[in-house]
Amino acid sequence: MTFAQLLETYFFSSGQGWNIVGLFVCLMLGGMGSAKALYISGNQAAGALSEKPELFGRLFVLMALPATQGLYGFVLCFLGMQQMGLSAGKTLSVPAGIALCFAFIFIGVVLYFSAVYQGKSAAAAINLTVKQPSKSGSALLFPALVETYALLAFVGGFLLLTFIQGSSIF
Amino acid sequence: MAIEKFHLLRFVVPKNEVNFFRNTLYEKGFLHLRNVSSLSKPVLPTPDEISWLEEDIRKASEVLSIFEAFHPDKKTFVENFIPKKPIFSQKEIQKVREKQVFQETYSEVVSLWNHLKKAKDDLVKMKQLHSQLLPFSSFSFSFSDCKEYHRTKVVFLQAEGRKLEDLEQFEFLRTHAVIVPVRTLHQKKEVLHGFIVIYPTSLQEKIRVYLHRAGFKEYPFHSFVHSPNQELDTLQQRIYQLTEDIQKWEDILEEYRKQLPHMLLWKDVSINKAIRAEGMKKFAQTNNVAYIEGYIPSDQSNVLVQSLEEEFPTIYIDIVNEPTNPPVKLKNHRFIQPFEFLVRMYGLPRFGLIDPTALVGIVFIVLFGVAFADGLYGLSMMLLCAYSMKKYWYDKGTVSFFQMFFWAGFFAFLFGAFTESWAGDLFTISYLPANSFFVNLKSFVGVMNPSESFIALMVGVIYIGAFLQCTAILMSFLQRWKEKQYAEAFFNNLSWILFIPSAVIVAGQFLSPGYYPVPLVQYSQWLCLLSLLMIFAGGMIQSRNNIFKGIIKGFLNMYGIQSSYGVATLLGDVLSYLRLAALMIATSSMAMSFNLIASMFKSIPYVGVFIMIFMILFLNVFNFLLNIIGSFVHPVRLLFYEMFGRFYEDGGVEYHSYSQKFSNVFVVKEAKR
Repeated sequence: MTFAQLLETYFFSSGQGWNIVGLFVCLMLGGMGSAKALYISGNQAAGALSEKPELFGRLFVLMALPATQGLYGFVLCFLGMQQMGLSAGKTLSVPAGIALCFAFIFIGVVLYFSAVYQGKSAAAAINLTVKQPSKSGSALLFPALVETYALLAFVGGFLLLTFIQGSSIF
Repeated sequence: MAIEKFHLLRFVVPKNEVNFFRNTLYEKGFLHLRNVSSLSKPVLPTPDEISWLEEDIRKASEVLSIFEAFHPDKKTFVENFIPKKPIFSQKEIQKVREKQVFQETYSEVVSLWNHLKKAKDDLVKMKQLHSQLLPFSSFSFSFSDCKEYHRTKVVFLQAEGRKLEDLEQFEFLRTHAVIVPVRTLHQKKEVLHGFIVIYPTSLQEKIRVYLHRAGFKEYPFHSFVHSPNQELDTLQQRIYQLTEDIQKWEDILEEYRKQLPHMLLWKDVSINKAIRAEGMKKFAQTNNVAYIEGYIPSDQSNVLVQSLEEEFPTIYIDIVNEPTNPPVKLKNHRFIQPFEFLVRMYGLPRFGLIDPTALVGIVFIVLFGVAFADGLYGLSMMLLCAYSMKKYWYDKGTVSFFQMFFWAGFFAFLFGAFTESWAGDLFTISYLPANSFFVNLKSFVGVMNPSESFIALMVGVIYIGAFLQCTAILMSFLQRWKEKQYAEAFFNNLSWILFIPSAVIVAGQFLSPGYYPVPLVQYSQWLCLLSLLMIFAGGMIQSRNNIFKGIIKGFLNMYGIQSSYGVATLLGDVLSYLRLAALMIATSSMAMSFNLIASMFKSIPYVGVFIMIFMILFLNVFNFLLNIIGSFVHPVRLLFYEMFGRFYEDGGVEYHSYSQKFSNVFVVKEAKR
């Protein structure tokens, strides 16, 4: 198959190519965001642990908080491929494919930024915990709240995939 | 379910009895000392007492750090979250007062450790020397002879990767010194270790300059006397002797290490004694007497006063029954006590506020249940918490923590069963036989599937939100009623309690006509109007002298700027509860995806089913742990922001009794190890 044929098959006469691009951009942004955020929070935690290794238990939870966005991206990508009938060889209309592509890119952007900001917030919470270990419970709240919007984006994507089942877009 | 009441005790104690009185107060352990040192001048503990206590703490810390360096404790992953500490009974603690034992242990351990460190250093040096001398074993000279030659000098140089040419490049060395390379055979290859350089004593200075320029280092063989072989034997014997000594000292140190729990206890006891001595700084003194103040739970006050009057007939005691601004101690039933953790997370309530712990507990477990909603996860959580409570029975804080999550798990189980989520879709025909017990159980107890009826779920969560907002305003109503602010309670609280449910029904009728019975809608409309009038009237009453101002205040009240609530914030706060629906969907949808991923392995011949089961287990455990965090944090946020904002006032100072506290060990009534 030539490149022109590939474009024709998946992007001009069917929307599946657009759908795949959207899903994988979503996966990429979620993964990139989580990786960057874990780098930020992990650096902070490693520095803190060099001084106070006994705080590992408390800092571990804070450090690992921004890992979820990558997972949300992966689950959406996987569900998207499964629900859109990629393995069953279903075709999708081009406008529907483009719409889905943009929807998942927007979700991915939310995942990316929420992960990065959550990582920064987790780093600040790690500082708070190191200075006042008794406040580790309260410190957990601040970065966890940032995730609300990643969660909403994920649920939005999940509901989109659920509602789309049985609709006339195929 | 209340905040403990306190009495304030005031003592005037003759100065000569202060120390003994201080110790007695500390032993009794009910008083929360109030710092009154600013009234006159503080009572300072004697420098001697402080210095020997600090010395004790230092010694205990030194022994503990030696044990840590000698045999570092390997923590399991769980121990990073739940620290392992030795357990002592209260009887055992009394024995720690035999201080002499610990002083001896300290001296022995430090001396042993120093010997051990020196012996280990010596052993390393001996082994190095042995390996350096070994290539010279084939030579038959004696080191003492080399030293005794008058006309010639002998030096032993280390090759360190360099060759003979590096020495022979200097003509002076080539012509005036004898250079003997020291080589051994290793795997049929010659290995160059060093050189023996022999030269006339008269040229010593020049030769040294050349050797220095060549950059060769001498072997440290200065202490050797006999032939290399004899010296190797001696070294071998010393190595053997040192190894034996090290082993012996390590065994003795290991024996002492068995006293580690007691050393931890000793550290705690020493810290407690220091705190006891430092407590005096909160006392005030004149030339003849000391003045002490402290809060005590009212039910303990009489007992303490009586016993102190008997023991110290010369002191004066005054009791204040209703002190202003006492510390705060929550007093709850043991089922409610675990949820005090959540109240402390936000900050203790100010004295005089209704204790919200019971409400917080119930709301938290319900909201957690909605967010985590999964039958299998909830059940697993309950089992895990029950096991942990049994395992860590000695740690009150950890048991409370798991008790809280046990009930949260129970509600997650309930909501999960109702919403047909059992590790996502594990109890479906995709993974289990069609007529299996679990598939039937799921259908039998299930009420709705949130993915299919998301709108119904959202409406349900909004009802929960509206109900909880009403409950929070009801708490505020009760508080104001208790403080006799009747107008505020009536116009600013009761009005909103009536408005919120009626507004929800009116809005529901507007969005979905015919959903509610007609009489209910009619009553709600009237109630809605009446409550709005009450809110408006509240503003009017606040500005009795100026009608114009009153009207403005009335509208501001309705909007929510002046009153504790407002129409504008109603929508935002109630909608905030929608996050619970999102969390519920997230838990089950991720479990479903993980199950789907695992099921892909099923088609692999022979081992596919086993891989699938393993993957289902692994991925669901991962999902379980991941979602616990979110399901804990978001209900806590709803509690702290949406609910506490309506009625809660923090700022209470926690009650801390002037008594023994242990941070390195657990103290229980009866130690059952």
